Amino acid sequence: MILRVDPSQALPVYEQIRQQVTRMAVTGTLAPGTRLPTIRQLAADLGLAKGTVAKAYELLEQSAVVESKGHKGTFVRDVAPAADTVQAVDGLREAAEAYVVAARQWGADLDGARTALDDAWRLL
Amino acid sequence: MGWLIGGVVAVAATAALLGGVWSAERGERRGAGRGRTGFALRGYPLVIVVMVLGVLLIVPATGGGNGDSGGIDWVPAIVLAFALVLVCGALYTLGENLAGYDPDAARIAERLSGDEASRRLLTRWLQRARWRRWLGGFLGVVVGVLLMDNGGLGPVVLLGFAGIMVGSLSAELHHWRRVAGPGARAADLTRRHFGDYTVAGEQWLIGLLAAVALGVLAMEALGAEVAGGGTGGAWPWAVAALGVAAVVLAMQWRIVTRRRPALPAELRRADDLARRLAVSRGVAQPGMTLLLTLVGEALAQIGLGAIGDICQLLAVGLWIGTRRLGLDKLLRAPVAAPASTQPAAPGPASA
Repeated sequence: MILRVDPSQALPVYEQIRQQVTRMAVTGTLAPGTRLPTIRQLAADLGLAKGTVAKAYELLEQSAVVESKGHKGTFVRDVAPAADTVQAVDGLREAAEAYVVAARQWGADLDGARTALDDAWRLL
Repeated sequence: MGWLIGGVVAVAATAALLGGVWSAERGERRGAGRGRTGFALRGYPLVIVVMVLGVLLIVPATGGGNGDSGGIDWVPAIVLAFALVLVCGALYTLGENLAGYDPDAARIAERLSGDEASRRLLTRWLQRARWRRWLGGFLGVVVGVLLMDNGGLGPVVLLGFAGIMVGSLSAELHHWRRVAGPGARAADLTRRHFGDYTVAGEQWLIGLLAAVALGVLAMEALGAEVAGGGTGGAWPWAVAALGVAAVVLAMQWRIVTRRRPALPAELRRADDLARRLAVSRGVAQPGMTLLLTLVGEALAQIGLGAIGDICQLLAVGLWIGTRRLGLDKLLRAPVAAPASTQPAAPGPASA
């Protein structure tokens, strides 16, 4: 469960943390119920400001990947909501649109985009 | 003449032999795993034997060459030489300690971990913690002696313990200067629990002593007096005790949460061990010693002198039992087996 961040990248560090923790939660590397390090600990370990880690945790909580239980800490939630909920359908459509835009920017056709999606799905 | 010769022999013997001991220890540090068998008779006994022999041989040769020893004061010459040996030995040890020379740290680390990188990490922490602790205690005692105006040992003991505490804290403050570099960083997402690094009994005692200090403070605020012997001067001691307890807890939290990048498993275990030692032996034990002294003084001020004396005695006993982090007894334990499968780590970044 190693988290890697690079402040020199264009992507903000809090977003790097959010993406990696989300990925770990979705793939099961972080099991539901796992307690994440405190903001202070993770900020110290990564040599970051506490506010940066706090913002990443806040975004993770907003996207229902983790839940904060007060002084007990921050826990990973079961991130497999029912696919037929309105929220899930909307979220999926949004992600698909973003992916289609990116695929067309890279000059991919529909088959190429589907192949890339299949590969990414299998790798996850 | 006998006095002079005895003194010269004593100083020469001390310097030569303690220098030899040091050389032997340095050689042992370079050669892994060798014991101190080269110096079965080492330190003061050997120095004293050679010094006495020197006096016996040289004094008659120079003072009474024809066997007439009537003009030489043998007893004062030997006593002087003996005293000089002790003084030189003490100065030598003092110099060693002031310079931070601690070959035992590496030997203790050998017994705590089988991995070379982990040993380096533990050795560095042990050397720093033991040296700062000793230096703090030494300076505290010096200040205590300077403040000792009425012949009582109170300031010496209290400031000695306070110095040990300050020295121990300064050894852990070392990490606060660390800043991360500009490049990529990695960290383990495993949460470090405070309770995994503390010793329950020590935490309970610190809490109990803080509660007693709070009780003393409350009693004084309410004007209550126990056993009719109160002098009304307990509150500074109680406040100081509460302050020490707070500082101990804050520092323990700092140690548990201080920076640790992603490390190989063996090094992570060594880092955990260094943290546990720092939390318990590095901070909690000197804190308990100082707390016992302060609470003992506070209790004496409200008329509970007997309990206060017991606290002070316990403090001294605790200090004796935890001198040099209380780890010297490990020197009699076997050396830990080397790690077999762990690849060499690039170097510790913590502890």
